[in-house]
Amino acid sequence: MIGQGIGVRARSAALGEWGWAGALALLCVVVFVAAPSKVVNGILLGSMIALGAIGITLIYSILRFAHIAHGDYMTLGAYISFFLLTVVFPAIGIVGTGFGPFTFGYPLLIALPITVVVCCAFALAIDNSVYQRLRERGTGLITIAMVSLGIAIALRGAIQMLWGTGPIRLPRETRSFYHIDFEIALPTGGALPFDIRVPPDNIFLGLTAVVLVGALYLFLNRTRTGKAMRATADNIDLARITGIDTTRIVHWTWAIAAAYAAIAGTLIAVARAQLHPNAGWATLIPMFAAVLLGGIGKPWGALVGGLLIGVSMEVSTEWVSPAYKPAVSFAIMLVVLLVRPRGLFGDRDA
Amino acid sequence: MSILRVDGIFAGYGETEILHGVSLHVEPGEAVTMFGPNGSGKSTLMKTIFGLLTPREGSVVFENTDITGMQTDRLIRMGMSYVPQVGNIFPSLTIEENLEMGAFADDTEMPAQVAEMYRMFPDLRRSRRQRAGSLSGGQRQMLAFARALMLKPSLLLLDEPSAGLSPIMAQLIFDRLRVIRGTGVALLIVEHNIRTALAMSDRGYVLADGENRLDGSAAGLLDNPDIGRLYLGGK
Amino acid sequence: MDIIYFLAGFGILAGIYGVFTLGLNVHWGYTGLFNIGVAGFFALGAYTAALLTTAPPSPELFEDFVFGGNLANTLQLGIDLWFFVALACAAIVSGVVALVVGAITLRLRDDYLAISTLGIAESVRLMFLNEKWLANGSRGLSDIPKFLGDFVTPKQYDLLYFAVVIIVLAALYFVIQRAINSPWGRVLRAIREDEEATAAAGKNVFRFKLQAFILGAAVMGIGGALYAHGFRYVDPMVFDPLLATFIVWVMLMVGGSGNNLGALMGAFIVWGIWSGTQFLPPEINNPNLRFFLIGFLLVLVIMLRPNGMIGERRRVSEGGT
Ligand SMILES: Nc1ncnc2c1ncn2[C@@H]1O[C@H](COP(=O)(O)OP(=O)(O)OP(=O)(O)O)[C@@H](O)[C@H]1O
Ligand SMILES: [Mg+2]
Repeated sequence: MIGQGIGVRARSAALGEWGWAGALALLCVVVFVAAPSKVVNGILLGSMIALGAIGITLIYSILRFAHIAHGDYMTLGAYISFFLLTVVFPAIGIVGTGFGPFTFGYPLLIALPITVVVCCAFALAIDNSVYQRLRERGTGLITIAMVSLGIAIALRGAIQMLWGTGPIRLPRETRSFYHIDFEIALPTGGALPFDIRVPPDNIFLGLTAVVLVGALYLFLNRTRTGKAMRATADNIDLARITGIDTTRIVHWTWAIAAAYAAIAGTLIAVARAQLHPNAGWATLIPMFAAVLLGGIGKPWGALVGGLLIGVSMEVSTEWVSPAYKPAVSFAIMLVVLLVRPRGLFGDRDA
Repeated sequence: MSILRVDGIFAGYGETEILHGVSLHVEPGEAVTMFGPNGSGKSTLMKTIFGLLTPREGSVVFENTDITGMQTDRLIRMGMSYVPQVGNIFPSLTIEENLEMGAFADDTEMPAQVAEMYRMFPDLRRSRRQRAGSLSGGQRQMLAFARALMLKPSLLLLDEPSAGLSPIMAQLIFDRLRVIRGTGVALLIVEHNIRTALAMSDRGYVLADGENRLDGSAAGLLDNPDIGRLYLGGK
Repeated sequence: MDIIYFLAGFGILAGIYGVFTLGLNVHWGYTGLFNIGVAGFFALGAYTAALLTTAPPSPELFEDFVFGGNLANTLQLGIDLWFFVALACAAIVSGVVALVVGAITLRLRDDYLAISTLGIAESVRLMFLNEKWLANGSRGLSDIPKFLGDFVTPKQYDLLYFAVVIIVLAALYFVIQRAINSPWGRVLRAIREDEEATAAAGKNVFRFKLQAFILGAAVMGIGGALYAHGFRYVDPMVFDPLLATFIVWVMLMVGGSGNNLGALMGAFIVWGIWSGTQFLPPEINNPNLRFFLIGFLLVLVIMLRPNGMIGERRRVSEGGT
């Protein structure tokens, strides 16, 4: 069915998933030498793409449809955080910027959990009122994906009604970049200079991603519900036969996906120091590229995919205009689909 | 008192009706084999018994309770378990995790039950940390049994447990089934491997075109010349 | 008499939207292809036509812009027949892009196509926005020539062009209608209903899907060209997803997918409502409210009336795998 010619297939088989990941990693090392700052920041920004992509891939693995509203769920998270930080918190005296080395203040750390709760509630309400009904009716998966497109549009319209169509600047303090400057001596004599500049906020993004990915790992591998979620992703019919409460698993899936989307959306806005109603929608292509690159339905694939896409998008600015970042991720996606349609870690039959 | 009593079941998919009034019963601790041509509705009947399909007419009574249309997890806690024909393990979970999933509806006795399953299926213990997808066909089937036995069911529904296996492996499977039966679990088995299945069963049913065709004691069915001609390859 | 001109202006856009819904109907309604990048093919068609026919403007104004053809002078085909060449080229460019992307994604899962079409739309928009030499960037292309513009006063041009749009729309309608009712079209619907069974019956599902994808994209390209010569100005803002993709989906779903007449009805009715809202009092005439309503309507139609007003009688519930 997916036959792409014997040559390609044989090569895919010979390289294997870790072979491919290794080849890409090697490429990253080479690129790192060429543009170290961009690689580092690409990884840090890519970690946010990865958080979004993990949500999309989880939804895909359980509910089997492409959640097109995911970017707008991120936007929603960003705007709710913003609303808390600029309207709600100042009213009760929680204000501040310049928390530690970061541009934002400690209120963000209070705003994030609240945003997560609100976004989870929103995602569950939508599932309850829309998706669940469609599932019960046996509506086709592509039609459900189309409904998620409708929800994406409606959500963005609602955000624009509440907060306007233009970009909004976030309250922040100016901070200088971390500057790492070193040389590696080459065996041939001479030295390879490295000059890495990282905005402190990007470090915060990376650390948050590490914590969230670690939490997800523990959840999926150590808890009863997490294991049941993996079982449901494997075979939802057997999960039901086995007595797993698949409705609850669906709710967990939405909650995790929405929570990670809300955090990623907020932190992307923090890193860019601005909010835009279109920001989430614009991240949709990189996120889906990450999902497909990692292999659809594979959370760890989405993580690797997100980092690789993040790096590619940053590094591409060495050669093409930064405006083309989404197009770069789209081009990578097409190449992946052409060379290895199941992605790095995808199942053979996918 | 029968542990399972199926009465005049009419069921199917969407508009199409597959079962046209099927009845059968299983006594406690009994092994019953059901067979019939491909597409006669055996799997459909199993799904209906287990509540995955809602019958249009007829009833399914399990341990004196009408379970027609009952929630699956309640059914499992009542003591019925089902091993479908295909896709009966979670390939990306480890062996041990598969067993844990078998106890999802009620995990009060899980560690003891896991140990019990490893005792009954020693092969599984050796590969407990392995992904189930890496198992061979026979081992998968063993894992599927073990998963279904985690909550100590009193009735186990098995859909073609030996399908697609080598004769030697099929023999091993039936050996295991005898052991399982020895623990007092009633079995309702759908099989194409009729001789072997009947040999370990008390009674049998023949299903054809969604209707009861024949039933009787296992020995009687094995001796029945019609059965011999139609399903046992002549003689 | 102003009402006539107003109606003509309305009819031109509604008719162009009708072309897009016909193209989308070939994709979704008849073949089940989920294209959320109508804007991409719209833009390819519009820019192709505009670039082929619009001479480069004076260099002081647009120093970077080097491209620009003058089809009318090069072809010398008599009375403005270059217009049809421009439409054809728009169709071809859209179709070729569809061929390339479809060849990569149509063998794979259905939703890969959706993401890919989104990628096309975004990449095409970025290209026209950033490659100033190609299409003058965000300042866009203006003074795109009129078709038969020498024969009417500027005011009458709308009336004339409305007739042109309706004629092209009618022609496309009949061509698509014929294609859909041919054995080829029956295979498409069979694919939509049950892809595996169709493949089992010996049909090369991929080829049929690819052909349908190209046909629909080419129709959308023609719609883009019609837009360019009707409004005589294009810039990347025109191809914003809301008015270039989302609203087309709502038109198709409201009218009824799988039915070309329904698709056209949807285009005229939804565009009528959309245009009508400009007469609402300013307090409730909020563009963001309309944005919201487009999405809301899409969800509502699928949930409450999956076949639209006069959709084909079919199961929308056919389960994908
Ligand atoms: N999910 C389904 N939807 C629609 N029809 C189905 C479905 N599953 C089975 N059928 C049809 O129901 C009929 C009976 O199928 P069933 O699987 O019950 O037969 P079976 O006796 O188990 O056959 P086999 O020996 O091949 O396993 C067949 O005609 C089959 O095509
Ligand atoms: Mg069967």
